[in-house]
Amino acid sequence: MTKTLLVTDDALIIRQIIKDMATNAGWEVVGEAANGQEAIDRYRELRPDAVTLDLVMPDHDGLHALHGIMEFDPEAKVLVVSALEQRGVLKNAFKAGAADFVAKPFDKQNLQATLDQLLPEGSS
Amino acid sequence: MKAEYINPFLTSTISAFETMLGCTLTRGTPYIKNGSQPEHEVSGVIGLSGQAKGTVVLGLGREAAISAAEALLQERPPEINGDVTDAVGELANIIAGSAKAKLEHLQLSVSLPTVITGKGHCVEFPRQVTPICIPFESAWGPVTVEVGLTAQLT
Repeated sequence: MTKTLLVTDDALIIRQIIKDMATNAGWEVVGEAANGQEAIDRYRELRPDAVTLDLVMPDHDGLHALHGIMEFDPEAKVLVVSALEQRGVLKNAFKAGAADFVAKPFDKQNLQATLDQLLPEGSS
Repeated sequence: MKAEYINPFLTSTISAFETMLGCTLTRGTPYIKNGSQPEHEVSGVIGLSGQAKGTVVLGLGREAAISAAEALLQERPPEINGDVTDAVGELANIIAGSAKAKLEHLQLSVSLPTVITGKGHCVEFPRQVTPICIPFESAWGPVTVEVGLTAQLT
């Protein structure tokens, strides 16, 4: 079964890069979100297998999204893809339930490998 | 401006170009920028605030800007368009975000990027700031990062 992904980043170009990478790796990108609240709304609507999440976004940020998504689905697989902010922010992301973290600037192969590890073959 | 403020931007720029674009930058000698003469056709501008305040400007020539967008999107933009300005803005954002993490003690906030295009444009720094320009050479032509950052008096 195809694994489904929701891509969240305020930068259109980063969403495009992640979408291209994920599609080439066999994921189905079912939706995009440009801020934290949109990520929560799209997650509830689409129920993807995994989410990539930027932490620094205008309006509602990534931590807001992480809390909202984990509250709705404690089993959600959320991969934080963000510039390495202060350690406290990252710590809060893991505390809130982030499954893993890839720092920007990211290498596409590293991002793909980390994403694939969220959902080992046959688990979707 | 304190020299310790420069290194994080230098290493973040090299890392962002290498990791995200597959483009190796060779560092030149940093110098104090005098005057407002532009050096490039595309500038990504980020404001920084916190216990220091200032601006970082990523400057790229036409070829470097288009090639950077091509490396990110796997498709070459025919001209300097929205894809190119998005790419330069996001690169500036990533460089500033990475440098911010290395300057944790300053508790910096990073603004959304602004991208200026066109020949002959000027990016002025406030008069009380002494910007340092870090020049780089790449296969796509010269790239610069200008950093003007001053500690906030509390």
